[in-house]
Amino acid sequence: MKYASKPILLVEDDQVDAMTVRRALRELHVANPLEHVENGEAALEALRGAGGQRPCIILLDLNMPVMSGIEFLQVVKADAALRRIPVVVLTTSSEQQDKVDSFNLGVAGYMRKPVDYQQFVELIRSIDAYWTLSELPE
Amino acid sequence: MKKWSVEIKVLAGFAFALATLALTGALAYRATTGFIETSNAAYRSERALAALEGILALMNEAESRQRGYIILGEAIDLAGREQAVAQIRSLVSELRRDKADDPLQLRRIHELEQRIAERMKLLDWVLEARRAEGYEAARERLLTGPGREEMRRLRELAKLMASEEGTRLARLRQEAEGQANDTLLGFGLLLAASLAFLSVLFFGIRREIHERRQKETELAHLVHELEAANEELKNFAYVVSHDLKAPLRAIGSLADWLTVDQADRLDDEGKEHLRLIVSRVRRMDGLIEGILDYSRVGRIREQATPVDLERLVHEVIDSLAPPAHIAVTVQGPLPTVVVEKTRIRQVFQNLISNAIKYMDKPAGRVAVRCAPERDAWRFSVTDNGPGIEPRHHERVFQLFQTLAPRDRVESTGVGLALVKKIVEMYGGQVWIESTPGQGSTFHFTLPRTAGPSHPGIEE
Repeated sequence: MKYASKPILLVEDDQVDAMTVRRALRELHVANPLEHVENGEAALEALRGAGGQRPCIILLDLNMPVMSGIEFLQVVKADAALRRIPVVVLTTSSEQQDKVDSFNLGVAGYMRKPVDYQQFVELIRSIDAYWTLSELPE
Repeated sequence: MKKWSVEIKVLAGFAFALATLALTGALAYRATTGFIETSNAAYRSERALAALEGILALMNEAESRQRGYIILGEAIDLAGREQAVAQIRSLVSELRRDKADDPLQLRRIHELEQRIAERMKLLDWVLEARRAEGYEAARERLLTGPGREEMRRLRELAKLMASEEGTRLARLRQEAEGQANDTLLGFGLLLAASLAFLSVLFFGIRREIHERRQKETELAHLVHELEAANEELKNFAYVVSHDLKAPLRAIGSLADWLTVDQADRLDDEGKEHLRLIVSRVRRMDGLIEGILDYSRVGRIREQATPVDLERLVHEVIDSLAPPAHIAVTVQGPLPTVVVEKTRIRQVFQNLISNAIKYMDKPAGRVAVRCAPERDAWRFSVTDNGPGIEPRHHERVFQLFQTLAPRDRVESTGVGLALVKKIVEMYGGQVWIESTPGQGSTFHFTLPRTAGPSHPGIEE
């Protein structure tokens, strides 16, 4: 990632999926701290809470309890303070409707979680590589 | 009544109504003609009575006119007498005409005529005396002659005839009354029968309509339930497939990490077991993907667009990257059809990839063709692979059915089921022609009017 000090916000309800992301990031020597919350509501709290640093990227699962990824996106993209944080959807869903909704809400990418861990690592490597090169507004 | 269908009942009702109408008409016709005939007969009888009376009166008139002439000698009386005689003649011939159908009365009329002639002769005889010899001679003849006697007989005959005619008239009237009563009774019975029959029909039909309505309501209810069940099933397939994936992925990842993290503690057997776990996780992932694809067909509709199959099939072949020993070709031009692009791609992709996957010849050939039929396109994918025995031709289109062991050829058993579902959704058919050992041809048709009936999600 371009700013190694900025955290990565992972919104994911599945514990092993969270472990997978954490392990892949560690394996790829991504230095950014990983902040993990379990649903959209918790993510909003984390983003709006005092003191916390703005994440450089949000990795978002769609299918979650309490507040789904799409609902989270609807709130975030309507919030002038949060809308510019890039959101990459990381999901099991290959439904056309989910893709349409996500891109209508301005996501920066849409990735399907591979079953194979090595492929997962490759996916995280690509995300990291891209967001290391990409410029971001302050 | 119960066994008749509504159509038969309505038909019977109409037939009965028509028959009733015809019968009523016939009855009315008969009654009317009867009435007219009777009326005519009665009128003729009445006229005959009047004529008889007239004849008697005119006879008296003629006689008194003659008497006047005999006494006074005025020519005017003689003319009156001749006029009365002429009128008598015309009344008699009228009478004859009116009673032409009554032989008894005709005989009587004949007799009457004779009597009149007799009487006239007598009158003439007296008149002759008056003209030739004067008043006294005529008076003499008048007093001695049988004139009075003749007149009495004539009167009696006329009375007899009148009384007969009166009887006949009374009988005619009675007959007419009887006929009218019969007709009325007939109408009444017919009306009652019609009412009864039509009531039975009406209630029968009403009951049937009621039953039908009830069945319709039940059917609508059933359709609603089925729709709900179908919707649930669709959602079920989607949710289950989705929710199965997360734990599966976790198992795969954990097995992978064990292999890496515990490498120095695991013996070869342990490593092999973990490898098998990972490979089975992949297989199950493929199966779930297959269910998802299968359940998506028909559930999620995308916009049908004109798809250039020539281009699409070449794209599919490129994406499958067939190995060097298999030549995949498109023979002849392919049309542009209006379909959901994703679906038609799935059809060609599955058929061509199967041909490649199962190829057992050193020089493989796969050919895609299209033959236009009257209102459909017939596509075919032909290979020179192992072929399929006829007894398996049905089975290969069933979900999760494969012919090769999964460890030899990695297959989910979804592909052809998916092809069948897509083709049939478009109103087409899919079938196999195959010679085991020499190859197979998969045919499928696509109606030219094909298109999803519901607008779907736009891509």
